[in-house]
Amino acid sequence: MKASCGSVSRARPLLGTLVEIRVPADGETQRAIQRAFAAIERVHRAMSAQESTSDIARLRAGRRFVLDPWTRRVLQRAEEIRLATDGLFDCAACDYALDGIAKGFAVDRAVEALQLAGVRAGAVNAGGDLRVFGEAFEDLYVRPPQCPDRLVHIGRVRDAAVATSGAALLVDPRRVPRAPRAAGVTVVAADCMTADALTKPCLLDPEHAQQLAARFCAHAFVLGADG
Amino acid sequence: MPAAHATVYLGVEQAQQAIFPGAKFTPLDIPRRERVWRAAPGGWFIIDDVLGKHELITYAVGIDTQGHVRRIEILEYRESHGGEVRDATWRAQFAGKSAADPLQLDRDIRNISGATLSCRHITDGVKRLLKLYESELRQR
Repeated sequence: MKASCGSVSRARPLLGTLVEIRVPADGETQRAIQRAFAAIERVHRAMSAQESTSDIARLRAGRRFVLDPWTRRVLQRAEEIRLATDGLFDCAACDYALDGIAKGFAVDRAVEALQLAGVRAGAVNAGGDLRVFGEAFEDLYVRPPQCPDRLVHIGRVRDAAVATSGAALLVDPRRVPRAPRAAGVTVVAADCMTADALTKPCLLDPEHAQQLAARFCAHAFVLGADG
Repeated sequence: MPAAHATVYLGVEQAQQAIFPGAKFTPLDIPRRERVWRAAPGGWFIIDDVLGKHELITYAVGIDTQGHVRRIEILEYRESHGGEVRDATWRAQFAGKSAADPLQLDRDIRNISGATLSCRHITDGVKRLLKLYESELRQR
């Protein structure tokens, strides 16, 4: 449809943000984009903390039911990351809200849907949880949460996931939070679920952000201290 | 405040065909700022703008004959960042670009992580459009 420099971009409001999908203009782009949005909608339905019929709402209500296998995967990964970050990433601190990890997972499923539909390269961006795939290196910019008027070029990536989070609304799972936390953190990882989740422990413990990220073969960029 | 960049995702006709494939559209003349089309065989197609803190978003909503949202598509996203336009390092990104090179987020400065785009304004907008459907479109 809209071709810009050989690519097609589409956006829809999902997961509490604008989700943008970009693919090359050649091939069956519409069907591929449709399937990618369908994957994100499935994550939205299953893991939204707001929707009363989501897995998360039913878990909170303590009801017995069959979880979407995708929800189980996210819960398992959340537990792995909790254990590997000494509890700094903990969905239980937010009453099992998966907001801090499900958005990245949705981006990964959208990329998977595009690839299964035969798309060789592209990008999926869910409000700052971003993944690019394909052969080409792509420039990457970060909008620092504490300074949203600026764009910072942090390098070029290929086949990578990038997530940025700000400290404003982060819940600290520790009983006695230690200061100072970072104002913003960007994590580059192989998959977006890991990148998304790792931004939270890195924000809470910016001094050890590099080591925390390295446990997952990821890289952390700390963007200034808070206050 | 000048627009720093804009992304066009879909034109009006493209959005109509994306939401109601194969349908025919007749514009409705109503004294409102939203633009409304009747879709044949059935349903309504509405284009609306929402203004956020830093951005103007044009979006389309398809409403089926039961009054349910069929799909929402973003047509255009324009970001206004006075700070960026004034900032020298920001302007330097556009060095060498002329008026013939439209500053499109998608083309020139894509792959932004940490863009805290909120769709709350779209959610509010869609609620308003569903009220418009209830009050003015349903009985037509």
